[in-house]
Amino acid sequence: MMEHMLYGISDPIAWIFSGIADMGIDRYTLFTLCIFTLLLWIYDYVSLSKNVLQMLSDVPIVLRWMAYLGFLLLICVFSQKGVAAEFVYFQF
Amino acid sequence: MFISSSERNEIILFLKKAGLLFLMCVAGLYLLGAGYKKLDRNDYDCVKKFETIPNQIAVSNFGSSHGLYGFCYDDRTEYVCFNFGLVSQSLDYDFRILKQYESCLAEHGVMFLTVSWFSLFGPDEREKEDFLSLNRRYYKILDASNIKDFSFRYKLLVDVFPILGVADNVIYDLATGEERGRIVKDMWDWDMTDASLKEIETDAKETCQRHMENKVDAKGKITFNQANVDALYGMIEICRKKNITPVLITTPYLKEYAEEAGAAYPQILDAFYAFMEQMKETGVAYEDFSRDLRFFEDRSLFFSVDHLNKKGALKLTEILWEAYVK
Repeated sequence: MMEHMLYGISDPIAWIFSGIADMGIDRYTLFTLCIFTLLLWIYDYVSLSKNVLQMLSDVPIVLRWMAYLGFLLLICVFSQKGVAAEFVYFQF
Repeated sequence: MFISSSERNEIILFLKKAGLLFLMCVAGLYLLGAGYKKLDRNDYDCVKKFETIPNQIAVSNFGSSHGLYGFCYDDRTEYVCFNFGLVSQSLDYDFRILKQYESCLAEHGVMFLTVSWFSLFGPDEREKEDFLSLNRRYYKILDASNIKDFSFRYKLLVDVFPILGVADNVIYDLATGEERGRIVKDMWDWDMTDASLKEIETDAKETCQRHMENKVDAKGKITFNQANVDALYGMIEICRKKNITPVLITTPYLKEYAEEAGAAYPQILDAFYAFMEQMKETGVAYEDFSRDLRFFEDRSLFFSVDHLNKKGALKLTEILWEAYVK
């Protein structure tokens, strides 16, 4: 593993993306991952100096409810629903 | 357990807030779903054409993929034409679609009804492994009464809240939908001129097997699918009611497919042609292109052993146009 882990490092961008693809993560899943990781980082960074939940309680009610709703919709939109397999269009 | 008045008020307030948030969430999902349906360009099940179905259709055709890919009205501007064909569609669903869109048909038109060798036989399509996957598309284009095994829950998921049901990865769907849908349409431009004989023979064998499996039981007995047979008569009846000329069509097949089917499943072909002989009593014209020499050996007209490509479809439509429309 140690011998192969830097294989292709001479082209670092291709090296990173091919590594991610090898893990079975396509660029759209990567995009989703990046959004949620960024949110987590922001929360983590802010929580170092402030109480984030208290901050949320202090904002005007409209904004607070929008935040609640936004979180709920994010969960619904990005959750895995286990839908039926895609239409079998090659099997006529 | 005793609950004080203030505690009770707090509980009621909490429930009210939770209920309000739930309703807001439902409304938000509905709006996101509407946006998703508008933005999603993935038409891999080829049903988006029904969103813009014209009125006063004079020339139309029904059928499975043989009908969908077998007819092309691109050059036909004299009359309003529409291809109702959908991949893996049974005659029963042809009939249901015809009932749903009957009002879009003009009187005194022509309707080509595609009848393939395997269309009339086999068990109920609900028994097929991919029934649910195929049935899903009809929720977008048919009323509940015309959908087999209609489920209200499924209707909600497909039509009202696609975010919760159909779209497993919204970003992926929106970003790649058009591209994935285009693959199905691009196939129509392929041809088989570069395919080797071995590849074609293998394709013919596999396709025949897929089409004919379950049509004959272990004792070699063939069962007619009564729903499909009744649907065929039902479509002819609707045509007559609207003074439309129905024409039964078996689309062209490539030589290798026809020979494989004839050799491996002769009893199905015999039963099929015996049935078509009976259909003559109805007075409906039948055009059999399955071994037509204008197509039979010309690989440039097919994208698979049993499907015409666009060039082949234009040729078939031209022949039928000359015979029945002009």
